[in-house]
Amino acid sequence: MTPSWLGALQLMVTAAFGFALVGSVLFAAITLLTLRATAAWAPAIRHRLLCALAVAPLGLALLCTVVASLPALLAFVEPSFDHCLVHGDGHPHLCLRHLPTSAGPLALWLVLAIAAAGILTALGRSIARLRRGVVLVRNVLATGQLATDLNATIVDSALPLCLSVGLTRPQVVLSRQLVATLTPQGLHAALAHEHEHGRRRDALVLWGLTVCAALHLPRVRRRLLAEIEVESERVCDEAAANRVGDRLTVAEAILQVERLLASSDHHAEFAPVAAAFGQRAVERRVLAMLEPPTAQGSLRLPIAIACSTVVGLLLACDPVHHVTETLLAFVIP
Amino acid sequence: MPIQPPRPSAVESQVRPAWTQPSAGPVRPPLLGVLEHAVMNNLWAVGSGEPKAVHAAVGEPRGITLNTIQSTLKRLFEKGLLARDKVSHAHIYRPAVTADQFQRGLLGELVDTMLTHQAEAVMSAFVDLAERAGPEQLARLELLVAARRKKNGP
Repeated sequence: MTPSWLGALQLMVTAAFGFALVGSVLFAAITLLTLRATAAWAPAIRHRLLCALAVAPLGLALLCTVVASLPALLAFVEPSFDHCLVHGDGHPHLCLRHLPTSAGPLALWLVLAIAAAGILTALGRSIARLRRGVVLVRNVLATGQLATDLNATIVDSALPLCLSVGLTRPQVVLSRQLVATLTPQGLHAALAHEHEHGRRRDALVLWGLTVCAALHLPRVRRRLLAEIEVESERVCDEAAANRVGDRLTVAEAILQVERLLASSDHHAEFAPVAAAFGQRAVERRVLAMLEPPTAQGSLRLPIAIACSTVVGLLLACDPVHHVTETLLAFVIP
Repeated sequence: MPIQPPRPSAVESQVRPAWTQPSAGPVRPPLLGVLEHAVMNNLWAVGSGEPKAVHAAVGEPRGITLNTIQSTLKRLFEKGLLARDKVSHAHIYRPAVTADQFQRGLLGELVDTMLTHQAEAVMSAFVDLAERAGPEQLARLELLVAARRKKNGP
């Protein structure tokens, strides 16, 4: 790669980071407003909307980078689309035909390298945790006993465990203590809930979202991912209620497991932390099971907004390109 | 006169693995591969055995060589899961931890990873282990559900 190609690469990467920054600030406000406005929506619809919001800053950054580079890419393929001659030379050109004459400022390369290293380190850690988790789950499944009648693996634990474990083919793990303590209806509800998690690959989806939501501001990201987790629990509660035919049975099972955890030997580890009534996941889930299922909410408006944004940005690729070049002039003289 | 079994010429056992101690804290149990699990299961079932016996039980059905079984046994010994006695020129391997201790260690780690939100990708619990409702709120919810149950009938 010649220095001039490095200069073009620096321009593109700087533009991408800039768009990422704009996306994270813009979607911080949108996310907080959406969380409040959609609180009463049906969990399945709200879950989809929040998942889309989680990847939105990354999606916007990629889209804007492509849109801003589109005139340059078109000119690279077809010289008649060359645009560099129609505007002045007072700023760097995001162009693959008229490459910069230098590799760009070293200080900016350093900043970009540090940012890229941070992203790669976080991704590496996440993958390492994922790998250890997968092996751990395989080990737990190998030491348990398969109960074919329950379609679950039984393990010996003093804790009331009911888990859906596994990345691509999730399986349900139950502790013997839970099987012995829960009522048959409660056990049926808990199993139906966890099997629904497995069917939906919720854990895998959440991991993907955790990675893709990296461009959100940290506090917004934490809140958004926590909400997505609660909504996926509520979706599975609804599925369990449909399966057992009684919403109260699901609520009773949740409370029974909660009570068992509170009285377990690990009491100190599972100590409650302060939160208002109705704010915790368990409370929200139980209260939702006391009400009839809601069909409130629609994805039509968010889909229409997203489609209009994509089409609008593609149509406005020339102005976006020129604005990007003008703004890049402040960073790369 | 009954034939006496040969006496071990040397006993090589690791110190009890840290994760089996009551105050194990954050120490993690070693995680095993599929073959390592099969070998451990075999030794937990029979009590002890030399590599040839383990190979006959675990290796032959899988078409695995004696060398592979020997290195697996050595790896498990190094991980602290097996102890070994040297009898003549051969090693006799036996479990250094029980199957229960091993499973407890794994479940301990499983719970720890859930409490610290490090395992979202591979597991989810029916009730979040990291978040507890307080006793008053729990009692209040139970009352609400009981009242609704009474109203709806059993």
